Amino acid sequence: MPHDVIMPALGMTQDTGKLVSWLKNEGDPVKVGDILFEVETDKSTMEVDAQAEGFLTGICAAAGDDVPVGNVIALISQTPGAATPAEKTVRQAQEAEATPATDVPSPVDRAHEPIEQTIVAVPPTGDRILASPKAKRIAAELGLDLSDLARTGHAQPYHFADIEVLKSLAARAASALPSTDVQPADASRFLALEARTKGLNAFLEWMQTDGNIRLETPHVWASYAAACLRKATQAEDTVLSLRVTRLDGTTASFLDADRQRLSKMVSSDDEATPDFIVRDITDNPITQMRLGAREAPVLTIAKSKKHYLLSLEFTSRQMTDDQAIAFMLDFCARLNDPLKHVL
Amino acid sequence: MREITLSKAVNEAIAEEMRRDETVFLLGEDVAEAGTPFKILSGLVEEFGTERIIDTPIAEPGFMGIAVGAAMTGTRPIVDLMFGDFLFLVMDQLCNQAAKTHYMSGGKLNVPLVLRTNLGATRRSAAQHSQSLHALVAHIPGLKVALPSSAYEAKGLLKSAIRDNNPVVIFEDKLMYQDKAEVPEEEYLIPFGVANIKRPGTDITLVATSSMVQVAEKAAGILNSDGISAEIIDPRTIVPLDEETILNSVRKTSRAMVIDEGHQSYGVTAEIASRINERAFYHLDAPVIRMGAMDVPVPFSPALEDLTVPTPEGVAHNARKLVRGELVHAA
Repeated sequence: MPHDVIMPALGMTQDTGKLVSWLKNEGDPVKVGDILFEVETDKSTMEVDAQAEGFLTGICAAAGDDVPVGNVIALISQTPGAATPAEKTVRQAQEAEATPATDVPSPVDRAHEPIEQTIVAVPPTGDRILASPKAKRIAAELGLDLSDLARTGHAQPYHFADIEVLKSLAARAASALPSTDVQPADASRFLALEARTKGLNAFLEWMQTDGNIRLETPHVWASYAAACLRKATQAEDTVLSLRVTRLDGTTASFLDADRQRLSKMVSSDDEATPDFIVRDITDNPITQMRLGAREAPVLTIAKSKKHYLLSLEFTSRQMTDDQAIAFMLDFCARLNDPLKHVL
Repeated sequence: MREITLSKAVNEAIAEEMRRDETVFLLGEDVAEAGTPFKILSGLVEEFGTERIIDTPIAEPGFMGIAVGAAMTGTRPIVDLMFGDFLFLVMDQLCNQAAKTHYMSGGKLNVPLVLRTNLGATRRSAAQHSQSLHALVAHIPGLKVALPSSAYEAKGLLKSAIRDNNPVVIFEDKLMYQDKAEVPEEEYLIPFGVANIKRPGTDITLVATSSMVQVAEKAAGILNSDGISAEIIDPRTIVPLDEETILNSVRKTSRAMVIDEGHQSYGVTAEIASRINERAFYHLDAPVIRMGAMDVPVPFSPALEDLTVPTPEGVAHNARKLVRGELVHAA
């Protein structure tokens, strides 16, 4: 199985790292300890070395890119060529992957381009974590998950001293949890993609001008999310409750939003824990929010000039990785071609 | 307090016990007139005479057998085995007879003998006079094994050994005979199975035996200047072994290295490291590292010989890595 090369967290509060340059090329053989690339943080430029032996493949971030911490930017494979088909199946989650928030084409990307998007997935957490017995015991006693350290790019093996870092990660996640059905041990999983705004914009404009129907974007989100969730989780006969929230604190809840008419959406006053949360920050310059697991999966929708930036946070108890990926691809397809959703 | 050499401490222990108990006698090669090649026993024959300080022929199996038999009849022989390497010559008398007689006689016979011998390389004595073979006898149930690390331990442990009703093998470090340490004038005994916390510390436990206690102390000094606080535990006897003191230390520091001059493979370091793993595993923040002598015959070449045993620099190097969370051996 190929080893992920991820953007490491070099500082406690660092969210992205700027890739300065690659010191190895696609297909180069690498040994453990070889310097792979240089990263610039707000404090310094650091060299990042290989954690596995093999061949550097699937490079999908280029010099100058700002890459979110924890994102996979290349693989170390056992073969010099592109990932083998067998490896690809294993790596569904990573395949379209990488190229975070840039238009840099990547070889891996191009092979899987049904729609215009980039998906960023966290490294699989099923991988064995190297940690000292003491670190494992204390983490277990505190209900902390050492894989959170791996996900944020901290180098293994972990020792007792790393528990402090882990505690602060957990504290940051917990501070974002107003109500918490989520155990700290539930690792937050993360997927992101971007899709062009022009598909949905054209549709909304057309509805307005030709049909004189003004659609509310929160209704669109609720409807899309409910439809995608129903399809991804095969919840045909379940009533799905969705909540759309904004940063100003306004929320709206909907039951079976996908089965309501977009133009005549009725909100519900259901206070119970929703099945899914949409965090709409399109009216806001923030482009990324990763606040950790909540009581339900959270889809954050942000907006840049020409793109919607979608990120999904979930735990393995809420959705499987495959369901999450299906959800995101489906959502993206509906954004690109809204008529498909209506029909 | 006065300071005396390890050699003098051994001499005092034997003299005091021979005065105290007339059944104590000593036998071995060159022990009476010569006072041993290391001049440890000088003066004893003058005080106790040739009936209690007995020069034997060069025949280790013979005088070892005599001692085992004498011990069964109620005396307390001290066997002087000139080099630890000669243990191979007395294995049957020691391991098949002395170690098992109490058990096989249903408790009717005791073998209260002491086998005094030595260990330690870097004396330029070549492969047959430089071995540290204490693990060999520690492996045999029925034998107690003491490893004094200074003049103070040498005297207190030897006196306890002479009074013990079981066979005890005590290994002195042959390089330490002229090393001085504080030794009280008044009588004292060091009980078996009680480790000594030679130096308290918080970051890493160095379990060191015999000659390696000095090495560990020098390493701790080096580490101290790096801001690393090493705790040194000297077990003093490896059979019986004071596990609790070792384990309590490891539970405190979360890291351990075991340093012993015997060959590393299948040795004392492996045994102590295993016990730490078995009983303090969930307190460990790093693998337990063994440092023993290289698994080669001890070379005669001084330059090569010095490479075969743990050094303060080597111990400090590994300890530093463990404390920093680096790997000493690849994962």
